[in-house]
Amino acid sequence: MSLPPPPPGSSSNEFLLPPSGAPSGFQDFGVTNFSRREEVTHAKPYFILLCVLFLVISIILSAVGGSSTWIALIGYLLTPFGATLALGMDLLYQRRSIAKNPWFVANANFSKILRIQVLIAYLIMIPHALTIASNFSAYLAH
Amino acid sequence: MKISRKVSSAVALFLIAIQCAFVGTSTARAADLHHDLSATGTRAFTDLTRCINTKKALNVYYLVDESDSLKQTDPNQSRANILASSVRALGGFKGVNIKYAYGFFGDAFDPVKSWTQLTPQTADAAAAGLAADVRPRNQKQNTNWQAGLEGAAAALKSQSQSGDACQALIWLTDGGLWLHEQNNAGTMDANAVTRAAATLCNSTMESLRASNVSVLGVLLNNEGALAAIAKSNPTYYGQNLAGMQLMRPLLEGTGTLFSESGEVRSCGTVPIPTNYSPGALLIAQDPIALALQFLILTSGVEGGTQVQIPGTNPLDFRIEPGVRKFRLLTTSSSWTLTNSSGTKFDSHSPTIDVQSTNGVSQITVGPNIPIVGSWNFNSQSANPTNRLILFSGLGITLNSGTLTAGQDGELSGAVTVVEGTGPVDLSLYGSHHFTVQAVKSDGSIQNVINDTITNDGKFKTHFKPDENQGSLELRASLTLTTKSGQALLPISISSWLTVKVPSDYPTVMIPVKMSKLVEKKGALSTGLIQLVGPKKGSGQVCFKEQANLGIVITRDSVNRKSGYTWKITDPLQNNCKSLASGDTVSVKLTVSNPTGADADVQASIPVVLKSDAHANNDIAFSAAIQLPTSLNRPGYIWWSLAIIILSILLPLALLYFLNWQSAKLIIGFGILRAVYKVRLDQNQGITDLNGSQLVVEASDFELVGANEDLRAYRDDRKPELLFTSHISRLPLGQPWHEVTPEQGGRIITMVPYPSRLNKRFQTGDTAPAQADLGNFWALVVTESQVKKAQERGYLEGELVIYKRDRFSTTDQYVDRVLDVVKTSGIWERFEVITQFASTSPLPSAEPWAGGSDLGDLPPPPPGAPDSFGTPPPGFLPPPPN
Repeated sequence: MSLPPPPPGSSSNEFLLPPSGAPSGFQDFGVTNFSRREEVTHAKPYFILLCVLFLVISIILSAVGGSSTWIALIGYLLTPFGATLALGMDLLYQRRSIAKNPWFVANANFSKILRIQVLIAYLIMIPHALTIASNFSAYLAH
Repeated sequence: MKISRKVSSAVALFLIAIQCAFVGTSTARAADLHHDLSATGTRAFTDLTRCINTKKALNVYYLVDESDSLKQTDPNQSRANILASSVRALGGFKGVNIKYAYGFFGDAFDPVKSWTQLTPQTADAAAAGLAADVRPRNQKQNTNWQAGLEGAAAALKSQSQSGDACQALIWLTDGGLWLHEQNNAGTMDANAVTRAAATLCNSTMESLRASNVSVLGVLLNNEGALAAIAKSNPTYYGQNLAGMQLMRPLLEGTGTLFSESGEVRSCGTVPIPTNYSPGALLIAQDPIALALQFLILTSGVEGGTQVQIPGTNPLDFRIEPGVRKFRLLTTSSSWTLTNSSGTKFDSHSPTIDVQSTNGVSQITVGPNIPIVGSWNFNSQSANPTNRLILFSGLGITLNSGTLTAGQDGELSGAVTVVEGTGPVDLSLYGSHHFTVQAVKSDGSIQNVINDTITNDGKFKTHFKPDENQGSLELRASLTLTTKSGQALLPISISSWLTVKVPSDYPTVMIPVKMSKLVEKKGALSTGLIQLVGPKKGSGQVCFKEQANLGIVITRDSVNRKSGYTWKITDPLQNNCKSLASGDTVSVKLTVSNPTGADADVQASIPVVLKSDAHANNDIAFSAAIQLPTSLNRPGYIWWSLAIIILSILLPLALLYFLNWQSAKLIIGFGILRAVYKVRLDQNQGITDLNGSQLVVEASDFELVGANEDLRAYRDDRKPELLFTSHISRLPLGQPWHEVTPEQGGRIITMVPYPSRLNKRFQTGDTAPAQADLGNFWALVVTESQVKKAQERGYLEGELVIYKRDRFSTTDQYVDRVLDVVKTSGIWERFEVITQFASTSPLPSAEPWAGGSDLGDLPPPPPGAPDSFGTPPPGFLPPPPN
């Protein structure tokens, strides 16, 4: 679909001009001229790293824990609970930073990555959940 | 297989560490060595050492008393350092894979430390951790041995499934089994004590022995503290003493705690079968005496033996040929050791090894220097207690190989030097006696070699296994005495050899695996005995006619041997099954037992293998049976399913809660809004209504005001916008936010959204928004403006821009507007909206994440279109050709 062509004579390159009498900073288009530029802070991937740590520990526990209920419980708390909490902490951290600091630059990809990590955590959870289920049900059923 | 020097040293260090706990600062009463290790106790350490030499892996569980009587019996918490020293020494094991764990018992079992690898690098931290855990624990009112031992047994059983390792349980208690009445902490519940004692005696300890767990019990029998207790509370004293009496039979099968005590009680199978591991009892009534006793014991495990020496100072003694190392244990802190050539040694001499722990010095001399000859030991202490231990430095190697059941096979090996140098010369000794024994599955012994060994240590014999279990345990041992008649500690080693059946005999596939036998009325376990025909010729496999087919239970966790009923349900001919070459036949075996238990039962079924080629030469064969059994657990599957479902739903619920919590618009402080009348042109993008560039003034932006995060937010300035937040029904889906113009019309944003929301946003009645209001902008157009766009070729509308106030930043307004107008694809987005709006109705909205923040929203203005309606000509896509 196409609409009729624009009226002749219109410029296609300039979108914005400074108002007359504007401060000199307005003259420099295309350049972000923050006088407090040094205060811009970007979101940090701390919680992604924390989540990776949880996943790795949980995998190790899964490998060495055998049928230990306590180890399985720790592994289960790390994944997926720990991973989900890492996601929650990242959301909280970024949301609070956005609301309080106009210089904060959020990164939506972090929460996307954390959601993928939570999905992986669910897979890692399986042996821990089975161990817990086996041991607890043996206790409860007896 | 050699007795490894490293392993032996490690074991020695380990046991030294145990004893160190009881080496306090009290004066030496070392002469009172009247509580020696019993013969069964000595066997416990010999078995453990043999196991470590063979498997090179050890799991040690420390089970520590935390009853409040420790306030009196161990007021200085010395057990903390003792146990810490033990862990530290464990960490010094070289060539042995060590894992340790510990727990406490008082009113109940409290598993504190799960199984952890112990290395020289982690030993100090592990020891400090244990000591820190032990010190404050002396507050419990009971001394519940049963809870503690059953808890530790469960931990060891769990760990045994992780690999083949020797297992030891070090059990430290300061008093007898004592349980108080339910509501009266000061009165013993005699019935509870009797029940606990019976369970421990008949089941728990027998199970540990059968599982080859070496239980080393250490009783802190502090006579001074007990005397005070006897005076203040004679009733408790008597009850405690009675409880203590149980300890030796629990550990060693039978016996009394003190020689002068009365009744001899037996626990479990007595004598303890050869293939079981007995325990050992060590009584710490005198710290120094016990310390020395432990050191002697430790050295014994290492291959040393204590010899008699005079109690003089200075001390003269002679080392005879055939001894490669000696060790002096002394309570003296300052001493000099002089050899026959006049060379003097002290604690700083580099050529001898001196270790001092808790007041006792251990001086090890050789094999790095010549030691044969006279020695003089001069102590600067007034009345030192000295002990001398000799080591032969020899080990045994058994050549592993394959033996054939019923046929003569060759068994060979050698005595070797494992510490020191030089050839083996048994003629240096006054006497020597060498034996090799085969240990059968039922624990009985078959002598293989009895004193057939040459002076250079070589041995070779013919051996005809009379029973085939697939593998056969052989134990070799050598006893030695010096020329003067001093007995050296026997050297012992185990080895497992493979035993085969001749090719013209049928055989049985082992092990015979049975299904799980669950404790249930009439429950049966079944298994198939796989019979394989001879490789050549034919033969028969015959079962015993006797009751229960002669099946012997070799290992079980509880005493229920008489309850087993074994049957073969398949038809047999005279109790035999004929097999031709190449045949494979299965015979169904069933078993029942009314007594349930959680156990991995091992049994063996005796059969006779007959070959038609050897009519009078039958082979007795014993096939191993593996039978898992478990207690009846009704509802196990349902519980399992419920827990699995719960374990999945709980984190999903948390995730859903997180999504719900985060499904809010971020408003915060300093939100500004500007509205520009603009024209959207396909080529020029966004300009003012005249097609010129936008003019931006700081005053264009008005403060919206501070607000908390909201699930729904209405900005009631013209054009009015309604922002709402939504959560996905999928827990892993991200929440999303959207905006709707209150006056109707269309709204264009360039916020990416998940493809599953395509239908929701394709008409432009609603558009996706960011969570951060400060980063939002939209182009709002009316229906009439959309219609006019066809005639004009450009779209007029209102550009709504939000931003966060970046205080004192000069260009922030221009930058923000520039960011918006530079956005590409706005016209294309408009085209898509008009295309879909003409063909598809707007899908019904999903529920808000919450609506309470919005309050009662007014209904839409009358006449507001709820769909795009019929588009003007020219907005429809061209018909297909």
